[in-house]
Amino acid sequence: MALLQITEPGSPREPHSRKLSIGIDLGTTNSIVAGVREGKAFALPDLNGNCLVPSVVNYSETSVLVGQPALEKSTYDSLNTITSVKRLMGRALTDPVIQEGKLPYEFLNESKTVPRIKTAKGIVTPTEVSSEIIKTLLERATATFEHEVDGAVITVPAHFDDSQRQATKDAAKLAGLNVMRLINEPTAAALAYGLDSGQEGSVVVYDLGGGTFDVSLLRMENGLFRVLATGGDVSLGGDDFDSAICQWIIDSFEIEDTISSDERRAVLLEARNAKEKLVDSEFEELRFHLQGVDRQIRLTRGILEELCEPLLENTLDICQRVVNDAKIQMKDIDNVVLVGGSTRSLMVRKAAESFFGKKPLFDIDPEKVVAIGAAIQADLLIGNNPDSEVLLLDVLPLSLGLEMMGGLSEKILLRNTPIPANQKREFTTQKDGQTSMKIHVVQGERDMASDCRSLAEFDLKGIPPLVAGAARIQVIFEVDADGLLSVSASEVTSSVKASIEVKPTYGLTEQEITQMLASSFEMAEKDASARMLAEARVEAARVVEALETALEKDGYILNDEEAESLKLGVEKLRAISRDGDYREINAGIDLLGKASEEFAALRMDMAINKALAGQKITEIEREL
Amino acid sequence: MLFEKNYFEIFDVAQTYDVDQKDLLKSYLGLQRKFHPDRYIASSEAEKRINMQWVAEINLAFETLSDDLQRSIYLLKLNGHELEENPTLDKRILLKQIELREDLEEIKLNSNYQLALKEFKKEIEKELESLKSHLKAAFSIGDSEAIKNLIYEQQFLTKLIGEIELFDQTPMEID
Repeated sequence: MALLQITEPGSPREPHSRKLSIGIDLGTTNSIVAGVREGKAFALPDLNGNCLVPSVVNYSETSVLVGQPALEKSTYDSLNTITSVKRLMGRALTDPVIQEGKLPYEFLNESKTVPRIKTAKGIVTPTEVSSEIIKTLLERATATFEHEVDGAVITVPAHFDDSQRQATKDAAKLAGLNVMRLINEPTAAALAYGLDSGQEGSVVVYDLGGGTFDVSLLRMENGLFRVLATGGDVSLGGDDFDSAICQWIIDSFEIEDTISSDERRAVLLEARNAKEKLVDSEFEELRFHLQGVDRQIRLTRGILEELCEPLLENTLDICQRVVNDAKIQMKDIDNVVLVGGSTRSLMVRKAAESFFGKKPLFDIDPEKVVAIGAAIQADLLIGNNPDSEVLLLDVLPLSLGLEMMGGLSEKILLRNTPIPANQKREFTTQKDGQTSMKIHVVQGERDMASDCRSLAEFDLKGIPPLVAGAARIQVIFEVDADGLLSVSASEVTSSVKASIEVKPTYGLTEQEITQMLASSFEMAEKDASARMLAEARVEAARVVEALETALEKDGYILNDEEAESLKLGVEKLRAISRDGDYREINAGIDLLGKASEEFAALRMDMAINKALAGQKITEIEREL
Repeated sequence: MLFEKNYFEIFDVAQTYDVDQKDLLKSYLGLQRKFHPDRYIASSEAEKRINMQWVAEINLAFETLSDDLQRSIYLLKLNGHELEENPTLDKRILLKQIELREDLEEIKLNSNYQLALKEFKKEIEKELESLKSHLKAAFSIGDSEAIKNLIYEQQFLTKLIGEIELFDQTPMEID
């Protein structure tokens, strides 16, 4: 049943129907999609009632399987079954995670940056694998709500670096999903709890998932969520418990040198099962048929705890650092929220409780809580709750810097700086007549650039030849609200300005994404461009509508000539969008965007002045 | 035009060193409520870009004014002065710094350093607190030389606190 919509006369907006938004938790082991219905957020189940989609993709010559059916193939088709792809996102092939991960895939060796995996269906990148999972979640949402998805919030671990965030966003783009915002997983979990109870105070979110560990300290007051500090480890999680058990079994059988990758996978699965069962039982008997021999071993809770203790200790060390970073006392922590399937384990809960001296919260299913929080935030961002007071203020997870002479990393933006953030730094040339300069962007806390993550490297060329120390090279770091960085550099003393924008080295180029988009869905070239045309038209309509609304409201601040030229621009884009192809439309969108920049700046300035004036009035009222 | 306001003006607080941190936070949160990029999801790309720059400016302004050291350097700059790159420090201050550094090194060597380190950190924090009231006085009479010397001290002590925290976090390693 549809409610009647009443629009103000003369309003340029169509009476808009409720928009559909979703929250996605793209996990290492499992992924979940959640939505909001009648104000309540919930995880979307499949026909069998399962909300968890195993983050597994299987490629065969004729098909791509995602989730449970793919997981079932993993033991006997490990070469073509990609699991835990999240660990590979935004990483280089040379990264230790890949090199030492004993991964059963065949990597294409000539690609030095983005890892490329050979499968029966051809070569795939982690971004593409991830986009298959997103597509499956998207289909589930569309089927459940019988409605196209208008926008999504995707969660990432709080300490994901720039490349990893970018790769996640690219994966969504490949799946044809409009990402309104990336938010941190722990923040999403706190949102899920905070909104329901409307509480105030400091909250620790301890998130031990399959592949990653995250801890965040958040401050909630008056509907504002501020991330005070975050920490974590991208390579620490329940999977490591499984691996530790698996390795213990292999070592006990003394078969390290002869075990095949399929057998290793089977042992690993059994190890995980046993770990889960040991929440209730004291010991488990494990049976295997390996290399033609039946084998048996007993895993007790004592052995399990011993195997996992060093890993748990690591998580608590990270917790301590985050508490220190937030500059608060342990006693000021009001709540501890547990997230991630691994926190179901008794020893994890006990460890968290004794460390923080508080009984942790786990009323909301720790595996679903992140997706639920993301859905709540998505519903807010899409505009379904215009009166909501909730606002999420986020911080930069890892420091961003530049490599200096001698290999030191000069930090430009410090970890835990509120985002969005901008920072400028000036450098100079070392030699007389120097005309180019290497700019190497790194992310991480270590002093040496080589110990940090390399994000991008480029040469600034076209510096006018001057004596050493005379040129002034300005480097600008800009981090957006998703935590994504862009860097530009220019020489400022001369009229010659060389400047460049960078994309992370370990990400895909814009061109590659476009190509993948064009060839995805087993679509014919024609269908692909039809789809891109449709998308470009939607975007053009959005731009036209936004600008027309703005002109109607604030057009008076422009002189007649300026206003006329913008109106003309709008008409032009309208015409192009009717008759042009997607490239022409996208070019038109960019052109109008540039033309309206000045107007946007004027409007922003006006809004700022209005806000400040508003504050003054409250001030006076308070004093009276 | 855009972004011409100084950081104190952005938050509409009095341009003094001992700016009320509660007022500052309140004003900051008020501006975030209004301007945060989440409020501009449906805007055009051009507006999003401008908005992002403005919110980045608000964030930088807040970071600067809520940090004791950054605030003093910023206020000095607003008063038309800059710190020198290699200042000649007063001998008394220099000796005190050497002494403090030696104290810290000594504590670090102690196998049971935690308690002593905590005490030491408290000492430094007390010093920093008292520097704040000296800075307030120096700013109010506009004595830029005195201000600079106080900031050099503040810089040193802040760095020392950072080192203490870093050491406190480093897990003990046995070679």
